[in-house]
Amino acid sequence: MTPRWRLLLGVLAAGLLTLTGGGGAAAAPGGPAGRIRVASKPFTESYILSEMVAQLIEDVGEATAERRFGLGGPNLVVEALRSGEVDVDVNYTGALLHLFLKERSTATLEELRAELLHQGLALGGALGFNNTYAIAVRRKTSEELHLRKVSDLRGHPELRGAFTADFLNFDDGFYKLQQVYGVALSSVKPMQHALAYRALQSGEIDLTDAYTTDGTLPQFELTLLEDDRDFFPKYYGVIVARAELVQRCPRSWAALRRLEGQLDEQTMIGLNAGVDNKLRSVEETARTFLRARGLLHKPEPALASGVARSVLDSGLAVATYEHLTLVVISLLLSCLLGVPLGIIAFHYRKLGQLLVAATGLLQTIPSLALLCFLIPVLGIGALPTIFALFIYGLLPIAQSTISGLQSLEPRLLETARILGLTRLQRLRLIELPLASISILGGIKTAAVINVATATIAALIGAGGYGGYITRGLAMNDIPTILKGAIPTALMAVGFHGFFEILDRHLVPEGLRA
Amino acid sequence: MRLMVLIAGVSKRFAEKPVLTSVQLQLATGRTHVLLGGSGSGKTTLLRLIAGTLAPDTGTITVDGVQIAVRDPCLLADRLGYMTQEGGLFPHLRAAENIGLVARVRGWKPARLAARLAELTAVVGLEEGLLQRYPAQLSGGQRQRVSLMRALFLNPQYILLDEPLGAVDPIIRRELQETLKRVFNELNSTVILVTHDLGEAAFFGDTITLLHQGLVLQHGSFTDLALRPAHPYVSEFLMAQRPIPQLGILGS
Repeated sequence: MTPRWRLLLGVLAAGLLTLTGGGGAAAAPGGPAGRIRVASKPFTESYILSEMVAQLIEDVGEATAERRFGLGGPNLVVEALRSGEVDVDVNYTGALLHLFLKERSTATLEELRAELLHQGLALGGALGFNNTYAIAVRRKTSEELHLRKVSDLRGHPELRGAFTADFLNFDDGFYKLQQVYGVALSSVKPMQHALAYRALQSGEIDLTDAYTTDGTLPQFELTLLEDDRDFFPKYYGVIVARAELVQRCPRSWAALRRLEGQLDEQTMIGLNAGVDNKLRSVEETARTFLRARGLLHKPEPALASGVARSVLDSGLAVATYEHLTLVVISLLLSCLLGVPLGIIAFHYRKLGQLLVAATGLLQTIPSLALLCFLIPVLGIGALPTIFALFIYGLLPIAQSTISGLQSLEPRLLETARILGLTRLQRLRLIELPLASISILGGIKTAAVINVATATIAALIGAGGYGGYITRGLAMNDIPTILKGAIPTALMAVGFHGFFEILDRHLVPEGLRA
Repeated sequence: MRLMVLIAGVSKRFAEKPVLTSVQLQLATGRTHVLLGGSGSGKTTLLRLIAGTLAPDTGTITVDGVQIAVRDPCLLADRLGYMTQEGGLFPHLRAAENIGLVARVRGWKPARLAARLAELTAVVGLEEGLLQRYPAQLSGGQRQRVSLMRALFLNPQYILLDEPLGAVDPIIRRELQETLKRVFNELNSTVILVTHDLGEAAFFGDTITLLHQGLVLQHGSFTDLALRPAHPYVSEFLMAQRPIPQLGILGS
């Protein structure tokens, strides 16, 4: 091995050690009863409720609260609770029934609690509000056509509907609703939630699904149709925790349960609206509410602390550290496998084509889908993310190794043979150094792709800049999106620059002349 | 054991196109043999077969009684020096690294490497300062001298040269030809040199083998070829070299 390549391995290994060493330190438990990892899903209401939970835990002081906000969805959070990746979350009875009992309409809260306990999870009482689906129409349409209830839709097949994919596919979703109410619409399209509101506002569509505690309902001048046949299941907000937490932190659990019955629908809509309309931050909303209800006991911390403290708990430095860890480890793995893969593919054409085709195929799997496949095997958090990024890094690195080797002059390689170098010696002393420009180019590409793709990590609780982006997208909050997007772009540029410099040290001088 | 290169009934096709057909040759040791011919004559292919990077379709090649086969590393590697058009130097290695590459791989100590390097620098007449340059920083003639040093480094019994002077300008070529001839005489190695240049063939060759379309048309001394052509193409090839016009003719 030439000294230059030893340098590269040294740099990467040192980076890895720093990152993993730092990781151990960062994960050290804080409070006397350890830490409580609070999850949230990526939408406003969930951020607010989980922030309340975190603040209550901090107020009790029995354990430290660690915010794992913005995880991909209700199923994922429940999976994370079961596997012990997080400790507590606020979920919905309808979603829990669907996940655990499959017979939602008949089961009682007690039956659900028993089933959850069986799975090692503790269930609190209802917080008050029922955040279920509802059919939303423009206020104007509702007045003109005298639409008050869902059954009023029966005489209006001309109305155009657009619904979220979830609502179209759930078995208690739109198609079932059409049967129950005997409604038929001429046009039904799938559409993302925020877009559907805008389409409704501009008159492109007439109906969409909404949530009963949606804070943006007033702003878009929408009316919710009454569910007069009691079709939609109840989605009462409830606290779900690991049963172990109740024993470990009894005072914290008791404090959390004081939230029960405190939040009716109007209150929840108001809290959501405050955040959605950017009047208050999530953190401030939660704190103001808890203070008003007398649920916080410690004195108000120093002035402006709410502003000074990052809403996400983990500050930009932590996010940078997490993001960097994901990218560096996955990139290192991609190199360790990608370069040999390229070499094998170059020497054994048939096998090589197969391998490259396989990595190409993996490349086409959308990142979220790939994560979904990985969760049952690798759980949530950093591990599946690193694995996914590793997969995405493989192809550019293997491909660039192959094309680097293919571009070598055959006469030069024959000369090396005639001089008496063995295959391995030729690879080490001639072929790889000559292909190094191309290989480094591939690694550079993989690094930049990985920096961008690592933003999905937030959805499965691995942190990084994606936390800001997920949160910003969920709440239509551009500054928060930028808080994640700008550092991501800067890190990509940084990696690019780093490899430019590395190029100068690694690419043999004679090739740069 | 007979010390010679023996080529017996060797044929080779590339994609069904015959490149060499039933080649039969004996090349004695300690002499300089030239494989002469135009492009597509099969002369370079024959050299690659002797080096052992290609296997013949039929026939055998034996060197000092040992049959050549395609192996990794090449069977003759330790006894063979090789030099090609434009030197075949590795662009990522300095001149000195190119020259000492194989010896270093074979575990030579730095002191021994340096001594041999100094010795050869004198033999081929290269400025010592050029050794630390990369191939791209050397002139064509300098590259060929570096390449020659690399070919000679392990003191080989056999030296194979593939159009070694094909890409240098006439004045440099003349200098290099003299250097090569001097070195060949001093070393007393067996040299097999491929060229398309009749003058070069005549200058170097103890024997000349004229190849055309994969066939050996004649094998002998330059005098044999010139005075006793075995085939009409031999005369044609010899006559094709345009003589230098008389100054008087130019003036008229």
